[in-house]
Amino acid sequence: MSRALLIGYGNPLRGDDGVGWTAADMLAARYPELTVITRHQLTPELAETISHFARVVFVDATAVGQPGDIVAHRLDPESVTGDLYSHNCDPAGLLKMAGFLYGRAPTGHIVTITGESFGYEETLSPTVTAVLPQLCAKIEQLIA
Amino acid sequence: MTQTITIDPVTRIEGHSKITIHLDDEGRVKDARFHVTQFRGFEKLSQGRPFAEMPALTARTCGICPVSHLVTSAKACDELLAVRIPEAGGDLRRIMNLAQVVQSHALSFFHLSSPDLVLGMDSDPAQRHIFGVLQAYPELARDGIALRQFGQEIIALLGGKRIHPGWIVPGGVSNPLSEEDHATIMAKIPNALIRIRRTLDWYKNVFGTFDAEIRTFANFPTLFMGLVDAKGELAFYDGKIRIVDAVGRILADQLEPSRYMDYIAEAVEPDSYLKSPYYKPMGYPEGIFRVGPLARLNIISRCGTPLADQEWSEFRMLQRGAVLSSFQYHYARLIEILYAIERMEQLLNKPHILDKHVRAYARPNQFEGVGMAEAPRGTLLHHYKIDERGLITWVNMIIATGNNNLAMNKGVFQVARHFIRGKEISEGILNRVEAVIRCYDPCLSCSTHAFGQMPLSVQLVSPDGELLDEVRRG
Repeated sequence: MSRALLIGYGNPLRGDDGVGWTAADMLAARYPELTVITRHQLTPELAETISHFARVVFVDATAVGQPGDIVAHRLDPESVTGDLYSHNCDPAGLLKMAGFLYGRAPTGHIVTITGESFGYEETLSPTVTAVLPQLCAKIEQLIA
Repeated sequence: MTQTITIDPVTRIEGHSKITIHLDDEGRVKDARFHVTQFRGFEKLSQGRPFAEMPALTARTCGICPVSHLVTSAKACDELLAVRIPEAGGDLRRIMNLAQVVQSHALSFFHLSSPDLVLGMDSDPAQRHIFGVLQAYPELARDGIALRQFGQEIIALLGGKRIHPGWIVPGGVSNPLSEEDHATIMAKIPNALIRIRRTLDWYKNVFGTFDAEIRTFANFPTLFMGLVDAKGELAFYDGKIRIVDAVGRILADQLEPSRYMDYIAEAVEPDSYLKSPYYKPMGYPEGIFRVGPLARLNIISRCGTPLADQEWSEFRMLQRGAVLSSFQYHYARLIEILYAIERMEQLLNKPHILDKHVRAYARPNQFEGVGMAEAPRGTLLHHYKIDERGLITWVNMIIATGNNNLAMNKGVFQVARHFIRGKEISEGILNRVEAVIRCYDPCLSCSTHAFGQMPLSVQLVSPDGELLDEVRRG
């Protein structure tokens, strides 16, 4: 697992949008050897960081789907054709940048969980809190 | 029949805005306006809060330059406390402020403006983005990433995190610099210097191909304003105000920041949430001035570090008197990155930099405090009044981007008048209208103290108000 990187991102001040941070913190406590990063947004600088790892897993909240739904899929850097905004990059775009600029792109997955509440709060909704064990289990499969 | 073009939203800048371009009966540009369409109101929502919260609270104005607000707010709070902060605390604040300059300038130059510079103003917009840059000049892209990382890592080392560190507090900083972190930062400096010098060489080789843009991108006489130290050198953290005219003559020098109301006033236009500061003795709008990298390099007597001084000498050869084209904000930004890296090294080599005494403690001793510092985008001011309980009763913030509002409007007009012919806007022209604004690297979220992303729109409107063409992006 030492070659794996976990990136949880979102806004922890907006309810379930902070679930990426929560999951990242939980797994960091469970696996001290795992490298974990939390960010509000993905930025181009992360391309250099992820180029040092064999695997990277991004964890984010989404508003799409039923609250509590967990979806994971492999990222395809070749699917990236458009722009990357300077401080709001796409996970697949970061993999593409890492490969192009540093010659090393890890295999990448993104795990999303559908949020229920994105209000001004620092706690997760009961629905999302209830499925955190499943979310962590899914991430563990990918970083193992 | 006159017509109006609207660009809505403007892209690759921070915040929300639109541009309207008015044409006369012959289809010539009669007027152009840059409208900032977001509102936030930090001055109002701060009222009633304990003054000690102000650095952390006002830093939330912006996710790009929170350190600038932290520094300026803390300086205003220092005045409320009426304390003299420990020397190490002041120098550590200076280092973080310079790291902020590096990361913010790197974001502006490499991530926002380099697609125009590398690929050209008329290049295919589908390719004119960061992937286009890294395919054309991967080394430039790597240098941009490394320099931004350099600045952000120093901020994170000092403050505990990259965005909204709470380390700068009234009276100093909350923790001293450790020997380990000192060594980490020092080890990164040589590489950062190599990268910025390589970028400067690249820029000096290519900017000559942008002759039309240099001639028309807000290239007009204005005043220039910023902080300088007692020797007239760059001063990002402290110093006093110097104002220089278009021929490089010093009109006013060593003006006290706390007396800003004697020489700066703010006009309000009905079509924008962004106020228009001006130099009070010359009135509105004749008192138009510019701030930020171009202005700073126009007002100083020298930078104050060896390599930056060499580059500055070359820069000042561009034009007799002040360098007037806002296109050269890009050039100035790179020289300031070089200066910031050199200056950080100087500060880190000071014998007291590892001192443990980094904060002075006091209760409020004054009811009013003003803080002023140079943010990446220019002169930033926070002015607070408190009651006897230390609660904020009144706030005024003059933001760097706001100081450039008059010049940005005039620049949009100049570009539009030069490039627009007829009722429709080609993509290349649209990009130039946006690019003149990007030269200033405006942070509209800061300057209106507003919330949100930054798309742009341009509208073309007829004399009788008919919308003829509209382009939206973002």
